[in-house]
Amino acid sequence: MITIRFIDAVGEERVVQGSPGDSLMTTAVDNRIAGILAECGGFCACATCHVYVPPEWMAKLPAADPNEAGLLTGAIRPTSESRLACQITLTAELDGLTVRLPVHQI
Amino acid sequence: MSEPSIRPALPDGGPDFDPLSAYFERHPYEELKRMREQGRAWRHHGTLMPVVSFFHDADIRPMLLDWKTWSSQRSPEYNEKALGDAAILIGNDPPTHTHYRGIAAPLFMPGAMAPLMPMIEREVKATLDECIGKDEINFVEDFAGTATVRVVCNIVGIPPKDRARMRAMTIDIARDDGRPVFWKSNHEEVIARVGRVMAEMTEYLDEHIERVKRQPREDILSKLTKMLDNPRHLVGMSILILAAGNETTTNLLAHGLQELLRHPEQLALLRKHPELIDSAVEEMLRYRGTIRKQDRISMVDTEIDGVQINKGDSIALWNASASRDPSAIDRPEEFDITRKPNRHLALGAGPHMCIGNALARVEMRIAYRQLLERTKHIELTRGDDSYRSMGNGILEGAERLSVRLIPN
Repeated sequence: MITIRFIDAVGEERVVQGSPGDSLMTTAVDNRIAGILAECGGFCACATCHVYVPPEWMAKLPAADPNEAGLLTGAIRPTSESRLACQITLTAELDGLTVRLPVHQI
Repeated sequence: MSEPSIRPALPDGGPDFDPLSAYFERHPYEELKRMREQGRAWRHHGTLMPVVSFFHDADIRPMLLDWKTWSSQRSPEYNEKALGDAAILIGNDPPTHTHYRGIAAPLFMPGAMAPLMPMIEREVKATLDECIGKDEINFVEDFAGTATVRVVCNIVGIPPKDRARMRAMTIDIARDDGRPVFWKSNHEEVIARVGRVMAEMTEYLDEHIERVKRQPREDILSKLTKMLDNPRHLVGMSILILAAGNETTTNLLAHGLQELLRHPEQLALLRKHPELIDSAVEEMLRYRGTIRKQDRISMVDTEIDGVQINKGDSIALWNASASRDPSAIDRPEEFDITRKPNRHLALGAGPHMCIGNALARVEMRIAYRQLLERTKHIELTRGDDSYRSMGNGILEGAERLSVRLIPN
């Protein structure tokens, strides 16, 4: 199992377990992480699974493809740390991953 | 027209499920509840196209995601004849769909709404100025339809003089939207009428886009003209913005108000706690979302819950039923503006999820905030006769909601 730490906009932390091969989004939804809406269900079509990934973890992720990068420009308050959780696949290397959640998704 | 109080029956005397019947139009949610309880799938009887309906969140949600099995891809002939230029998004699957959606999506995502908000605030205010304090308004047209058409026309740069024409054309398209899949006989007159409206809209937009290209402005259509070369694709995107962005939000505004008036304790709560507007809008979407059903095509031969499905069958996914499915939603028949979480399917899911969802939500929030801030009371003016539906049960479509907006 892979341990993931979600920190919401007011600093509340939730630590959950995910499986290799699952997306960060489905792991969040399965664990009822309230700050992840993921309305489209993982099709990079709604930008409501927006998370902030700290640089040390971003370095371990493949770069966002053009579709994800385009959609991120339409997320609320995107920064250089922004990613869509539906496009992040959990691997052993991501054990301990910490992501922050935005104030709003919509 | 058949007597509305009589439920359609099958030849064997059992109850039929006919979404085009007057009975369904009068009792949509009772019928969808009955269908949820009868099973997972229902093959329709006597329709020209073979069609199977689904009613449960646990079926519809994964089917909307699984576009390879439950496809939106139509034949080139169908796309040209039935969807016209609008087929660019709604008649295609990935990768074609992904390519064009990817171009338009950032312009409609949540973060792209902030620059539009001052315009939406302004148009809602101007519309409300003309409605407030009058003895009676038709909320559907005078407020909801007018404010919404002003917003979508601004987004595609259509001048004020042509707004009424755009509104009339989009109503004409919505009148029979979603119905053909259940037709039991051909309705050439409907095909011809919708064809005429689409042709008129296409001709108007062809000329409009030429003007926009010559004199680009800051609106979304001007931005799209720089991203898409093909005029057919630009017309298609414009039709989708105008048609999908008009009737949907208009009806949602009207039905949201209708529910608030039916539930005075919820209206009082919203007046006292305007910060509940976001969750109130989600509950309006869940409870009275405009699009009740989405169509797909089966790409496989399979059997679900004893119902045989053949490759090529039309599949009707009743998202309005999923949004009231007790196995997915607690107390589904209760209208509760504080509901959280609220995982409804009013805007769909998967690759074809409503691209304008953030815009619809922003319009709803702004419209209700202004409406409640500027009124001390809202009342129906014709009692039980204050509401009339459009007559198409496939949609939550309102023709009239007669109210008086009493100012502070």
